[in-house]
Amino acid sequence: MIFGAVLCVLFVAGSFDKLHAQNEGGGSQLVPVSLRGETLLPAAMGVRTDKSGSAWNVEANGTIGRVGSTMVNSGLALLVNGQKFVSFQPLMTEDGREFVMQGRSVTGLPGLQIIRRIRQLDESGGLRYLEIFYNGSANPMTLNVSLATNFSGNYRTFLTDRGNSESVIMQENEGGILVLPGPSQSNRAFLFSLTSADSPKKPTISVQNRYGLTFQYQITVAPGESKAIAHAVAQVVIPQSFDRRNLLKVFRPYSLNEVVDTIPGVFQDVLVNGPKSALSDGKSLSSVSSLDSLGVKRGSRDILAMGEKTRIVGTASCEELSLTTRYGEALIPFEKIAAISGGKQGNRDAVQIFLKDGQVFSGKGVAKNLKFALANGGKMNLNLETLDRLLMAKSEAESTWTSEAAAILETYEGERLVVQKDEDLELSGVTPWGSLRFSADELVWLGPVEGEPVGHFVELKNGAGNIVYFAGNDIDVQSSVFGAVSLDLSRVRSIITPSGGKAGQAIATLPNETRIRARGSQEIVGVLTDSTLKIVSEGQAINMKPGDIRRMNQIEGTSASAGGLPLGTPLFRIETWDGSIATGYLQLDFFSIRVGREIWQIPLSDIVELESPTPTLAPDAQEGITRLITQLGADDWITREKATRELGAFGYLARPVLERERNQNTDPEVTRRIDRVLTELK
Amino acid sequence: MISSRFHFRRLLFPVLTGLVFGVVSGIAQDAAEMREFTVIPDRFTQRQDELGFFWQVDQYGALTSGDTQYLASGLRLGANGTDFAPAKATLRDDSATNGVVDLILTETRKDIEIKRLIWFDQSRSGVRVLDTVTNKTGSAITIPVELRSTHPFAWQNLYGSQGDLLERDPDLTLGERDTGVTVKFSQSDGRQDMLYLTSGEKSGQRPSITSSSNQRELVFRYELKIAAGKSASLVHWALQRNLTGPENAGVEWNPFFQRRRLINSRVDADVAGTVANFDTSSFPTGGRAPTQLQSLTRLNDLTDRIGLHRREEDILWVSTTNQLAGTINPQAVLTVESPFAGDGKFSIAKVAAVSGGGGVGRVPKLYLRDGRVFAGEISAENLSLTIGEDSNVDDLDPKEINLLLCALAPEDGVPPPGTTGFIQLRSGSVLAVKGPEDLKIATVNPWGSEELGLEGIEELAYVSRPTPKFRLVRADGSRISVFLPVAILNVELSDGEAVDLPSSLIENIWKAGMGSLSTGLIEDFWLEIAEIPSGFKPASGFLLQGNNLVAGTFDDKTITVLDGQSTVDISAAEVESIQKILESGTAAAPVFEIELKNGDILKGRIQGSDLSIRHGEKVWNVPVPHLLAFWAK
Repeated sequence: MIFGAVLCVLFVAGSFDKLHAQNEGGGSQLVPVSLRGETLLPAAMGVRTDKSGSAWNVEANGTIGRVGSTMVNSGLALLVNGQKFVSFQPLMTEDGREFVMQGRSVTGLPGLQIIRRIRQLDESGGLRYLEIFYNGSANPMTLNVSLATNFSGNYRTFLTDRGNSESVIMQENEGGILVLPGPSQSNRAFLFSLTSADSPKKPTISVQNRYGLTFQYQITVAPGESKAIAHAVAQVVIPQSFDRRNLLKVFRPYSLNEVVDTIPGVFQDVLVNGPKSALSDGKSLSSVSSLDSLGVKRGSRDILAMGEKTRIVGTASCEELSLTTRYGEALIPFEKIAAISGGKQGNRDAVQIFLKDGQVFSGKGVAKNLKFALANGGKMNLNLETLDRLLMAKSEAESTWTSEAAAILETYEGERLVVQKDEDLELSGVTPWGSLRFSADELVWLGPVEGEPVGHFVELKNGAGNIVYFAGNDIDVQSSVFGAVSLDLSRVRSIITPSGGKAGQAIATLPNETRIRARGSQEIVGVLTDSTLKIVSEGQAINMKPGDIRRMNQIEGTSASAGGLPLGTPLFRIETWDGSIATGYLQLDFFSIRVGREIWQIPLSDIVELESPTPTLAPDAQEGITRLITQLGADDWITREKATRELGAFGYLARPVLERERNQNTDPEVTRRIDRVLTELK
Repeated sequence: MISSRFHFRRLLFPVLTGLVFGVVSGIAQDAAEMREFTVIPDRFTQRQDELGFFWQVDQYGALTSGDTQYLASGLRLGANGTDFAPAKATLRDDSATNGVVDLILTETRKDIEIKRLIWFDQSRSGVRVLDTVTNKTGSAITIPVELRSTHPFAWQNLYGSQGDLLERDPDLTLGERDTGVTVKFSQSDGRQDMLYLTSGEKSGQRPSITSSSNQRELVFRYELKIAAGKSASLVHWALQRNLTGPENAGVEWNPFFQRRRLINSRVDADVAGTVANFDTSSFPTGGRAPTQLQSLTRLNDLTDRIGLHRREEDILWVSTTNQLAGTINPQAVLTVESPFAGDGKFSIAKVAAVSGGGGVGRVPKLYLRDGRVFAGEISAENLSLTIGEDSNVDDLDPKEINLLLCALAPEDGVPPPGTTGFIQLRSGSVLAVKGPEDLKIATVNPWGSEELGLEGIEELAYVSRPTPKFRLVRADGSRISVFLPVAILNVELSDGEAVDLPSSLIENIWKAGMGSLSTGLIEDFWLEIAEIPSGFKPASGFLLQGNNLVAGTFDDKTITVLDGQSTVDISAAEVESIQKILESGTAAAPVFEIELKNGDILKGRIQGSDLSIRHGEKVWNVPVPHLLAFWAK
């Protein structure tokens, strides 16, 4: 889905002419070779030296070849299900920084397409690899992906970034290994960054007698979907000591958290071993407080679970159950209970009550005549303090999302409260750029980010997603059990709405809203309020209105003014609606954007990408385009040519009309000429 | 990538301090570890510089690349046809506090005394070798000196520091503007290059250079003419680098030698007069307290980026390749209009630098010696530069020039009276503000909020990566990620003017007198107490997720630890330390190791959803999954 509107796609494997053909219709499921707007050239292979002075010889299939006395003979050869990756003609981006290699078909895996993208890391030196797999078949594929490296002799040893020696299974928080050369090898070690430290997807490491290492990942790719593995390699000076702090320092520039910025956003979305994004972390409720955490599946009868192996089926009953929590004391109707986790599960003084409507509460419970009737007629008296787990029979009518539920709020302690629809729930917090206020109606989900930074991530229905600090703010909800409840928002782990599981699909951007992709995977949606912008490109100042900008991307490099005086301001590539492109820096401290009722000011260094809404065409321009399209099928060649040129002059503004016409028009001459204009626009 | 700029500045301070107090001539009487050797070891302790290269000194005082098989013997000294054979050595190791390590080797002969002072400049990643020969006879003597460097592998080519191949005539000859030699190995052989700084461009004695035919040995030769009872010296620098090309050697030398001046060579004025391969003008005397110079943080940032150091002369920086030194007309006056920073008219004597419009409409900046910066419209009267005796660059227009750097002056870094802090705006302007009573800055963090006066802030700096936020460095050692919730700050400038400042304009706030800004420090993602540098760690505090270091104690009276089915209540006051066990538990239900003051150690989960921690007068509720570590006094 993600590739449909954004990417160029490959129609015929291996045919360079067709690599740039586009499918803008939104339905393409083919693996992307080049990004939209990206021109690929036949690659110039050979030895290259990175900024740290290390030489790299990337071969046609993406394998690292031997250079001089480096310790690697053949590095990071890609094998999929045991078959070696073989590339068609290797390509590279226009700036020569990134190789793009499209693989030939893999025997036994029809429909699998593989792309390797290898980029020289400008800042730190080294190479970043991106292995992309597209399943074009009708069946799911399980792929064993291997990256094999052979060394020029026996390496001394290898250590993980956490200092574990020769560990073949990477631990939580480990992201890579450092291979130290043997005495006869080069004085530089090879560093392999294999996964993000916080990613659960860790490769296993196979060792071949100290001369070979193979990193193996297993991934499953659903039909029509893509998955990608990112990794990086660098040659580094051997650290003097291998304590954890020193190792972190060596690894940091190459960690996937650092290099992920070099990966285009569309590929970041399908990374299986990338940094855990806020999106993946918080948009679901914690498993700790789910019924699944009890380790027993509910059935058609009540179950009394004791220890690991005892499961007694029967019928539970209770005359009265009261619970005292931080929100107050309440009687809990026994028929509304889905499960009870008793004192034996942890604290004797605290029980956890799971309600059938999805709510969970912890506190001191008192149960009057809590009994469990066995199927054979026997009865057991139960005590909440010594109870292990009691699970009630599951009824068909149970549903977390009742018609009254607007959201479920979960605390860090694992409690869950249902927020009713008729509540006027409004939350406010602080972002790096200003205050954010939103209602439950606008919310998709709110969840924790617990890496860097720590805080909450909020995704709204208009597609905005931001890191927010709620500290000091309270939320007032009407609990169906405890009545009015006020909670410190810093105690709230997450809030999920019925659309929470479908984040990103409920985007409802207003027509004039600009989208800014900011650092930290944040999205800002609002209306730009700046009136003019000054872009300095090659020493020339160009004035522009924000509405002229179609897309703006921050690019690598440091801006320098005439004479080479470094400015320390970010460089941008700006595309305008008329098809112009300018690369330079902006004479602006920040973009001002109206977000809800607030004006946020976004420093340029925070902006990764900006996309403006398509301007509405004036009626006469629309008429002009329609007239020119008609002329594309004119009898005389001169009129057809003139119309083609004039359509091109409209730039991107004509694109929606041209694309619509391309799909509807049956005149081959007209469609051919529309294709020509669209290709030029690309 | 960690910026070398930071490392340089971070460690330059102690190094400069050393210069001021004359460390070189006599071993400073400070807390540094001193060690005397009467028996010279085969090899002294290996050192590693900031770029990761190894250095070691052998028994002859020659440099080697330590465990790495690259430099077998660098700058091995021979005098009067005999190799230097030191009988006494003194090692002064102050690396723990300021990264300075000096090794002094001495050999006494019948007629001369030879002293070799080796300084491992860890921060700039280089080694300075100062050789001094003292004539003990009653008459003048001429001592031939050679410095021999041997590499175990053949080099590819020898280049001058300007990047051109050294010519053979018949010996190797430095180019007219070369100041040293680059020993370049093949790009594909994976070995680093060796760079030597041997002499000034046009002053001092230049070495005669020979090399072996197998391209492994390089010799610099000098002749020292020494009067009776006097000394003569030679200064060399050696660097290990990975150069992408020999033409990049110049950039590597910029931090060490620039515009015919050695930058911070730690050579005393007395000794500088005896140096044969650099003339005395190559050793700038400085004269400004380094801490003051470091206070000009924004100007330092700019000069670091272009690799230029301010000196005793005014410099017009035209481009990376063209700079003119001279004297600015002292009658020059600059007028500036700057949003928020205000308007002003300043004599050139108060100005440290002018970053001009460059002819491309760039916003000019006026850097005052007192640390303030005005970004805005600048106009000048009588601004001209005299070069030499009769050359002038007249009518310098701030709109057109790139950079005008004024000579160092005693006023550098002295903030305006009453200044307690500085605020840098996104435009580049730096305001000097008064406080603390008038300036309160509200901050929010993931657990609470705080209103801080300037007295409680070391620095508050906006960072974009990896996620946008302010990093707050507090006087109590706390380092916390915060956002600013208040749109407008009311500040009083040092000149008494009150300004309403949109908080979105703020890029950095720091306390007056800060030697250098600390937010550039490597802030590793600390996970354990042991990973926090000792200088950073508050006496008692918490390491929380997101690299947050919070000085404080538990506000909870007891902590309940769950170990399987059993629970243990422990008094928070009895806890010596808590450390999350990374290998156990889950993100939502972490497992901790808790050490009590009586030595007992418990392992388990902490019961409850959050911990109350007291930070100053504030109590914050921190979710248990956010806790990484705690330590008490």
